[in-house]
Amino acid sequence: MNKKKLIRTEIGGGLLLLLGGLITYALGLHDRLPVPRPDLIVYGTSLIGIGLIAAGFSDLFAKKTKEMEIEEKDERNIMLSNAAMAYAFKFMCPLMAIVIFSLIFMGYLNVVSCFSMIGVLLAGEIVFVCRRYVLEKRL
Amino acid sequence: MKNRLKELREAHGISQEELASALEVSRQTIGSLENGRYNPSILLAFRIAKYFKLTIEDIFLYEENLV
Repeated sequence: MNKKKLIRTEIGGGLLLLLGGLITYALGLHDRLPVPRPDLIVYGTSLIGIGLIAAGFSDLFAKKTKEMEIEEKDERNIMLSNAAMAYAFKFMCPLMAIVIFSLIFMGYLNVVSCFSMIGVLLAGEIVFVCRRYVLEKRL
Repeated sequence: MKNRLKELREAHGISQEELASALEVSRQTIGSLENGRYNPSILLAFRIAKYFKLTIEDIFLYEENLV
């Protein structure tokens, strides 16, 4: 995704979320949503919307110096970041599994939270396998 | 991989920052290349060779060639 498209998506998406949340709250539609705390929806959507809008505007007005661009594209920096991210992922997966199962056995997680978190873990592993397959075909 | 990058850079009288700027890499990359902690990609090796008007083999010393 090029930079202009990204900025438009950020600002547009942010505005949509912010206005959507506010209008939903103003019309009282949030009470009809099947969630335990419908009053929090407007806070959530407003926060995320404002965050996205701010990110979009900061990308719009940010001016990168030549040094910043070089640091961003430097092959050694990219290699170091990728290696660190891979290590962090390898560290995080078993740790997250241990924490989830500990919380389950201690009774702190309900069914929805438990399966949501396990789903996120599985999604991460599936993305890893698929991405590896795609890269193998490409390179 | 050993290399003559530092020797060539000093012979040309340029600093690490100047070389890094010319090659569009960070100064830390030049430093790591010079002390052999980092091996460049083939593209970067070509750019370095082109900058010094030499071949890659003149700059980067593949271990087996030293025997």
